[in-house]
Amino acid sequence: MSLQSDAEGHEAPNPDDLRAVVDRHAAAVYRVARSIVHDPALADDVVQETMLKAWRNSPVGPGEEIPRNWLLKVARNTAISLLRTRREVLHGPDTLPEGSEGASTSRTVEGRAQLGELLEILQRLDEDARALIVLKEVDGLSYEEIAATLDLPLPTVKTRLFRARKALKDEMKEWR
Amino acid sequence: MIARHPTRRRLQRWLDTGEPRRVSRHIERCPQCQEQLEELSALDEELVADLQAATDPPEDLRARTYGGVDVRLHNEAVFGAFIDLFAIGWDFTRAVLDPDLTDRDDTHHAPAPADGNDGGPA
Repeated sequence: MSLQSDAEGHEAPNPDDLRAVVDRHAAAVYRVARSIVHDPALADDVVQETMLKAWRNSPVGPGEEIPRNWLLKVARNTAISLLRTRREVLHGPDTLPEGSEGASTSRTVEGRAQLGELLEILQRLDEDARALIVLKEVDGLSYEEIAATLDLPLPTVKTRLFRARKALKDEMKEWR
Repeated sequence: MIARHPTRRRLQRWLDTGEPRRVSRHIERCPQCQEQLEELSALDEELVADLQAATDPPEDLRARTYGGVDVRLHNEAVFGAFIDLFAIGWDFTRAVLDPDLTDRDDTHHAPAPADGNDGGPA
């Protein structure tokens, strides 16, 4: 990775900082992206854009740790913005591309299809519910971190998450 | 200290409907009821594992991100250079097509005489 240039003529941030952000946060950013966009390729775009934004507009000094909730907020806003501009084409679970599901690459075709169905179900929930479930259950954020990420009051985060989990379980009943 | 709480059944019904509002308001300020709802709404381990697997990043995510970011930076640099060249070309074209442009621009920007004399005949 060269990462030497900045087209806008700004003093180029340190490439090592970008590498550090990618190494530490790319997976969490990808999960947030997948909770919003269905297309894995679009999720890749979200990760790349988020990393560049974080690198250029970091709220902390060089070499300091970027706050996770700030980064995930950027990721979420980037995903929503990309969705609006690109009008995502939804794919069926049987068209999930090979090798696009990371740890699931070793799964059977049936396993991938089931995960695809789960993503479909997740997509049926509203945007806030999806974000809440992924941030809490998958990324393991605390309620306080989620409140900061989503710009919501703490009690609202809790009540919405309770109902989001229930909605997900209700959707799952039709599949199990 | 809150003395009265919705029953478990009532909390279950609130989970289904989000109603009534007064139960929502109670839950928002009652740690005890929040704890019960944590329990009532908890996802089973299998579902959480499936959620993690479904949203798992590809194994080559970092390499793809490095590559993608590099391409973006390169494209931005190329585009920036193109815009600069276009701007130079545009200025040159204007000067060739309209040689008076430079004179007009110079006249337009000439400062007014400091003594207020307009340069006309005395």
